[in-house]
Amino acid sequence: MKKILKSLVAMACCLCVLPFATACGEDKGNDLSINPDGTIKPSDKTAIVSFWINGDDSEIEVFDSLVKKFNSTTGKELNVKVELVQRTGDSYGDILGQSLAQGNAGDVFYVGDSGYKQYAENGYLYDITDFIEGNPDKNIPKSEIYKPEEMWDNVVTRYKYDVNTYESGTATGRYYGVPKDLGPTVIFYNETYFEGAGIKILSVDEAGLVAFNAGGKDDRGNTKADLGLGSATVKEKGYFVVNGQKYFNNQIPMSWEETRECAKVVQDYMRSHGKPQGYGYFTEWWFNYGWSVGGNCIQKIPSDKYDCGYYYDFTLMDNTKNYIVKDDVTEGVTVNKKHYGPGKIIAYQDKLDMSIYAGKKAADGASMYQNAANYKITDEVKALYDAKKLNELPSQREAFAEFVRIGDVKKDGKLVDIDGTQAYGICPLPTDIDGDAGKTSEFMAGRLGMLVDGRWNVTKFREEKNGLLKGITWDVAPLPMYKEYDADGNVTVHGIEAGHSGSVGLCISAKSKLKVAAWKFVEFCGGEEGQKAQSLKGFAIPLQKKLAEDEEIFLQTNQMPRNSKVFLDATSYEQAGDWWFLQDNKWIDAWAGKLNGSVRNGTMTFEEFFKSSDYSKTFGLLEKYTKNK
Amino acid sequence: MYLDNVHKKKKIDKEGLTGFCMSFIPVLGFCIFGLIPMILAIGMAFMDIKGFSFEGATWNGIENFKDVLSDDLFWQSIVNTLYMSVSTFINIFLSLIIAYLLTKNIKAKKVFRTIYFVPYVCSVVAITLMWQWIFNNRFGVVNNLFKAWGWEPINWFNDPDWFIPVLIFMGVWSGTGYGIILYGAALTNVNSTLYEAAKVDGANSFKTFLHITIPAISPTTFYLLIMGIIGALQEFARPQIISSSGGPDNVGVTVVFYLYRRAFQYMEMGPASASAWLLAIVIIIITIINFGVSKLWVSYD
Repeated sequence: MKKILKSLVAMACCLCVLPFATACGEDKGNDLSINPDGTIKPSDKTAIVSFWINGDDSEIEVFDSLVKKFNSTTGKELNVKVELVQRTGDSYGDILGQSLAQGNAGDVFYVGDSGYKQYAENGYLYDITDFIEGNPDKNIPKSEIYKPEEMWDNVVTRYKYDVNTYESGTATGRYYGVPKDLGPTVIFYNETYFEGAGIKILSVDEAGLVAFNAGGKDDRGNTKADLGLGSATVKEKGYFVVNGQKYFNNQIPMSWEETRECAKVVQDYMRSHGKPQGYGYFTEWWFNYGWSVGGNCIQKIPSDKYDCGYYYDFTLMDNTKNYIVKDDVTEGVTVNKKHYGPGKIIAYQDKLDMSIYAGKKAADGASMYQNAANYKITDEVKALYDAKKLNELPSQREAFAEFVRIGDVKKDGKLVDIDGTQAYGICPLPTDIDGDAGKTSEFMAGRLGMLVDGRWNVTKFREEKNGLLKGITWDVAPLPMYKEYDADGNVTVHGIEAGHSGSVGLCISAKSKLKVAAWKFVEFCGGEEGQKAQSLKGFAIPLQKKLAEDEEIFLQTNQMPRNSKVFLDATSYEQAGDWWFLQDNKWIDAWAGKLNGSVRNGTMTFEEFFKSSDYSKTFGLLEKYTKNK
Repeated sequence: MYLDNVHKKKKIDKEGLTGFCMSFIPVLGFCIFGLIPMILAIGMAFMDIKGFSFEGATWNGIENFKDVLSDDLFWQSIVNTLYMSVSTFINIFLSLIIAYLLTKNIKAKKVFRTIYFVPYVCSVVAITLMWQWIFNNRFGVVNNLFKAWGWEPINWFNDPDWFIPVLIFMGVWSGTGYGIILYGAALTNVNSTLYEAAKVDGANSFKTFLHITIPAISPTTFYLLIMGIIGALQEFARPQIISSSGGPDNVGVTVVFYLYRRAFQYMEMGPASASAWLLAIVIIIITIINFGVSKLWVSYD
């Protein structure tokens, strides 16, 4: 008995010590070194680089093949072996943060939009600027594989961050990661439903309308006659009706009105054809609406009273009109000593007279907040508007109200009023859709006619060609845009094309002992070879513009989506979501709960929200992002 | 005499060594995963820490406590947590009723006990996801039944007024089984002579239950109350699974959810540690009050 007891105790003690012993004994080989001539010296002992990945099966598959390719080519040459470690779960970001702090994260890992700045500031990410741009002092040559100058500037510069000024994309910024991919958001639409609802599809962009109207063919090879348009002139409309026949042009953004009309037609069809729970449209982001008219949730206001030279104003409910330079004012206009060309929206800081608060600090009193109640459009802007050089656009608040209105916001079974106008009921409420997976599942299950989402869905949708999407034709179209028309259907006022694109970065741990080896893998993924592999699987848009414009590598019009060039257009103007604006999401969480709850449910009016502590405390929170500089 | 002492000493050493070895593992576990983090949390609660590292950390007095106590969301999280802890009292009440009924001569008593206990041993994640589907606004069984009966469906997880009641319901469903088992054991151990004496004195069933059964099982009630409240004050998983953003109007943000968010999403270990200690203080106070009040109603006779 005693012997058994002793053995048990000994075994338990061994078990306790084992993990520590294992950790100590981990041998990951030696890092690569850089020769004085800038060439890389292969590792004398295989460098084993761990690569943490967080994604669905299709993404794992893509990266698994990418890792194998690296290991059999560059890796073999340099004696580097990459090991893929799948880290699943919604709380990947939280786990990564803890692991980085403890120094036991992978050598290379994914970093989502919302964690990047925090990690960089905390010194968890290795500065890879020298590897990208070269550093003669350290004998590091400029990368020949990862070339930012050949890539989409608005995506690459997201990863160039200055931890001292908290600014992205500035000359003083440093690279702490490279984009793994980029995923602009567009409308995925169920073409089978559209056709069922009697909507004919045409595919011609703004530039091609003249030729099409003159009898030319659209991108699908159809002429006006083929589509039954007769002698009618096709205008710059995403959705329109000619002689009772409905049309959807998948290359021109719909106006807000067209969006809800089209969604309603599709929704009615779905509900009368076996999908009683169907909705015509789904988006969970307000960016497209707000940014299209020049609004935003925060604005940077210059102020010499702050060490950093500015403070942030919370402007989600800004109710002052926006202004855009008319297209025919070719010489542009000057506002607040800044030049604005045709089609440019006057910035918040320039359209408003903020002199009443000049010289005050935010801390001087809360009264300086609730800006919209006090700020006024400057005389300069008013004069330009009176001179018919500017067009008026809705305020941020109006744009936001339009976004909320698309929801199926009901009380006692009836659609409620949102800021004075009845909701449209064409979009399910956020909690009815179970996260990211939920919305794609809903689309694949045929319960959404249109879905606003990113490029990452393409792989999944293609895989379901013979599964959930069997017999379904789908394609993509640009996001809606604010537009007004005259009686003839010509655009008289328009906002700008806007939306957000997602991007996940590949970063190297500052505590990695295999930094050069890790960089060679990151460089491979961000280089043409890595990007091509991702793109061929339909997974992402290549970072290199020339690859993105390649028919075989990206456009692939021989398979769905046939209208892939919409992604390229979106990539050129879309920017990161609000979670990227500042170092963390604390300032967003302050108001997002109420907004996505009572406000979008219709149980709280905009006025009540505007006056709520959830709204007003955001001003104070925003100040914390400035005062420590 | 001398030999006796030697023999005794040797015996104590062997027993002591065995005891030490046996207790070493749990004590070590407590030290690593309990004591050290607690001590670190005390330190961090008074420090300005960048990320998760002590590197560059500076003392900042009670600033973190001030920060937390001046945060509306912290106070809202306390209210949310206390509201959710209502499930503890409902649990105790229902457990007692069901356990009492199960002491009667009914068929398949063990089967019922098992059925009631199964939810308690199931994964919280699985159960929460199941209820999430049941209460889904569009496809959930509950709303479909409502529609079938001509009632207006309720947007359970999107309506701040319904979010917590649904969580309470889920908590009651999954937690009652534990109480039933404990009460079942307690009820069978009540001294039968007390019941006989009551019968002789002419007490009816209700009076017997009220004046004999309830006092006799009060230690079990006390145990369930203490553990239930402590558990409820640490609620985190269920609201987080249902809505990782904290639910409509942040009604799903409990105290632990709040400190998790500050620690791992905002990387503010200082305020997170401060809020953890504030929660600990709240739990200690409530437990002390409970023990104090228990003298009035808990009977160990």
